[in-house]
Amino acid sequence: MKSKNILIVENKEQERKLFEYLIGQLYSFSSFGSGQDALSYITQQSAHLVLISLQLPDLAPILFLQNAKKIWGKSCLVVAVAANGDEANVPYFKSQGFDEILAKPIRPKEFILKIQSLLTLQENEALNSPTLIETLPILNFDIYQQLVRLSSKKVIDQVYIDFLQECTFLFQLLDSKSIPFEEILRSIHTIKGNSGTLGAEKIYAAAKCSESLGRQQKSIEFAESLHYLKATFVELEEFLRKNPNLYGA
Amino acid sequence: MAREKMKILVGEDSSIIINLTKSVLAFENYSMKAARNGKQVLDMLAEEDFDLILMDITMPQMDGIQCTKEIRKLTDPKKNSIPIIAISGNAANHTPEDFRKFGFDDFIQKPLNYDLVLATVKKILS
Repeated sequence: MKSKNILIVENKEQERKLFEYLIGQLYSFSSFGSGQDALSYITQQSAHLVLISLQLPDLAPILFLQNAKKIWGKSCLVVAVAANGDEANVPYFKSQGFDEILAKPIRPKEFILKIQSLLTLQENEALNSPTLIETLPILNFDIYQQLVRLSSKKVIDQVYIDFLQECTFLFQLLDSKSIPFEEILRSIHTIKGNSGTLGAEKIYAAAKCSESLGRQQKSIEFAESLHYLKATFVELEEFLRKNPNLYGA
Repeated sequence: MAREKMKILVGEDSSIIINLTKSVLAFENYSMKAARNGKQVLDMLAEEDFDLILMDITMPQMDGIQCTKEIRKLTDPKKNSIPIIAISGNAANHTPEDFRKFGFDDFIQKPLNYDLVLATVKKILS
């Protein structure tokens, strides 16, 4: 399982399989060939993004959109997929509140990038709200398991130990106040890349926020964000200490 | 007979990512060496042949974009045509066309998803 859930609603089987294949490389997904089934799903489950065909035979896409936004609000993006030649209707559907309209035929690399960039934008908006960062898991266990599957528990546990040590070193560097600002941003960028790859989601979100504030030279907010970043690190350290079976003895 | 191990050079300044990538690639029977910046990538490529480069964009001294441009200017056709995959933490700043113009064959966004890293490496090396 992966960290974000995408809902795919497409009645044409071949196209649905293509979406499943592409989305499945990065995200977990639930998939429906029937619009009515998807409508039932959203009353029970949540998703970060919905990909819905505008040509469903059993459901008007606007009706789905209204329900999805009513239930999930802004926490879920609704992306419509328009048929080849249906470009004329794009402005209308956009005005109805779809977050994005993608036109067929889908070009795989561009498609994946678009989905990634929409989810990143959504995440960035969430970063403006610390309460939303607080809802993230300190460690995404699915990512830890994926890494263990692709390597070995012993090696991966050591990588987490190295990550904690490197963060400790980088925070000492940040505390010393004698390093150039660009070097500070580089250290935060390193923490961001490493924490994201290791599934330390709260640290990743906090580092991303700090890096962004630093680049915008918002010095007061930036200083506050560093305190928060450190607090997320302490939380991970504590979590791993309390869960030795995950982390290694 | 077992195939000869494919050799991958990773340009990356984070030791965490280097160790992680090394262990994942070794598990798939690839051999990997690491350079900490673009200059080191060029030095190592001059000394040795590799089948593929995974190149981080943000590195000290010489970044991944500059390094890739330098590689494409080399006179040795075996070196200047080596496949290079960009790794970027700020991929939203560039379009796929930008990466192709810089000389990359493909790119992967950070945070790294190692299933995707392996799929991309296999696709390029197949």
